[in-house]
Amino acid sequence: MSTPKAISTARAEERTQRTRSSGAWAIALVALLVVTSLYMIFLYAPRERVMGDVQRVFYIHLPLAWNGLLAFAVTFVLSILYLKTRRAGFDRWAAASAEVGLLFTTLMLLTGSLWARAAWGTYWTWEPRLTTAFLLWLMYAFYLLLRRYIENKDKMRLMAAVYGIVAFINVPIVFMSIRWWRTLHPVVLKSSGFQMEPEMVQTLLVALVSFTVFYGLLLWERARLAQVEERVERLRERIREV
Amino acid sequence: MTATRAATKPRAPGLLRGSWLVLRKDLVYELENRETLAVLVVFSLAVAFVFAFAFDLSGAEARRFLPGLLWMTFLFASVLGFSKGAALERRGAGYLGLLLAPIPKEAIFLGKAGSAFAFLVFTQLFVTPLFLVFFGVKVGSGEFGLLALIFLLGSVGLAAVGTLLAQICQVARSGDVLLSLGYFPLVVPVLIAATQLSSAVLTTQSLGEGPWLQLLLAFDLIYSTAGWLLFRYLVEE
Amino acid sequence: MAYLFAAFAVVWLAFFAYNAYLVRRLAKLEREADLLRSYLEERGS
Repeated sequence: MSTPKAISTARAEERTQRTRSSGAWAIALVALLVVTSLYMIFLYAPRERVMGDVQRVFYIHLPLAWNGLLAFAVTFVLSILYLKTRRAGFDRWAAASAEVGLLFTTLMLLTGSLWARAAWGTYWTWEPRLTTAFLLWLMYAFYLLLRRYIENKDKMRLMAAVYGIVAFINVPIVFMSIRWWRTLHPVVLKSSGFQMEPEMVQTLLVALVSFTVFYGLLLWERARLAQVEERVERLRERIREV
Repeated sequence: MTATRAATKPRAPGLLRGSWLVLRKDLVYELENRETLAVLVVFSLAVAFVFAFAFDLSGAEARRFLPGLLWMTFLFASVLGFSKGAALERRGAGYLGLLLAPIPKEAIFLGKAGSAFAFLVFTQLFVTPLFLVFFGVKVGSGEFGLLALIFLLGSVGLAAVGTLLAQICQVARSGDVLLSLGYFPLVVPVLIAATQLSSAVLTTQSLGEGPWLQLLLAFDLIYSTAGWLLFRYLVEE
Repeated sequence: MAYLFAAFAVVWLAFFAYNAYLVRRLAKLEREADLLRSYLEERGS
């Protein structure tokens, strides 16, 4: 009774149960974090005196920025490890981290832009941090593009790893140069500068932890997807040989 | 026995000699064909034309905008130069020859970066006087010296980044397009520092107050080191 | 307030969309992997 169909269904069921039990934990954790951080952001943290409710964007904006940078740092470290060990796993996680980081950076730019519109009346300012984030976005979009444009897998991993290192080295240089560039120009808008009350700091910390967990989960999922992708690719090749 | 064998076997060139050989190969090829130089010259002339119509500059305005125009031209011309160089090596299977050559891998980086630097300097020597005349800006010899210093320092950084990135992109499909996408975000610090310095020179006849010269030096140093350390992963076979 | 709402909506929508995309692609690929594997097993035995 071991027709391909039967084997396939049995496997799928077994796997579904496995994923479900770990998935249930993940969903419960995410739900808890979402509810807690939303509660703290909207009800627990006091209303900011100068900017008003819009300041609450800050509690997702900053964790997004921080995790974007963290994601690219992870790509940087994993790229070095890949060059040293040549294990495909490092490259897979490096790529996954870059993709999730790009998502976070995109959202950081969007929320930052909305905040800027509400607080300063403009969607975009060439403020150092915003500009650096914009360049980060460009560099890691390029990283992901590069991976798609190289056919030879081993070459692709090497090239991507070297670029992953070169791009991250650029981050502090870009940030410092844009900061000097701006401060030498008339500063029209002060970027931040509100007094943080204890409740605000606590809210920020909870949001930071939540988003870091989200980053971790998405990273794990993305890396797993890449792993299955590779496995399917190998199976396809074996079938072609048969 | 071993001594005689060592004596008859030709000694592999070291780092400096290897770099020089790679650099000379590019320059000799260029002097015979003048492919890249021709592209750079025609491109600069075309850009000067476009700028003249797009901005219609004169007088103090021209002085203010000139650094930006010059550096934009240098950046675009350098991308052209890099993709031209990579295309040449691909076409003539030059990379295979380079990889088989008994020279250190670092020498390939130094030689390639060296020839990229030479092309950049040539472009600057051609473009700068041209733009000064076209946009009616006069500079003294002191200013010229300072500008030359800035241009040379900027070119080192551009050459290091460009050589590294061109090597990464040349294995990709439509590598030339990718190269131009990846190059500009990476060289933003050079663009900022060099335009700030050039502006300072043109308006105050000095290098100005900012930390730009240090930034330029730091960029050159960091990316030359990065290229030096990472290039061998790009030419593995 | 509208901007605040927009910012939160964008972030959560993007998270869920990305997550849904990953889960769906993963399911599709795992189905394909099972199919290919059972095909190979059948051929092998």
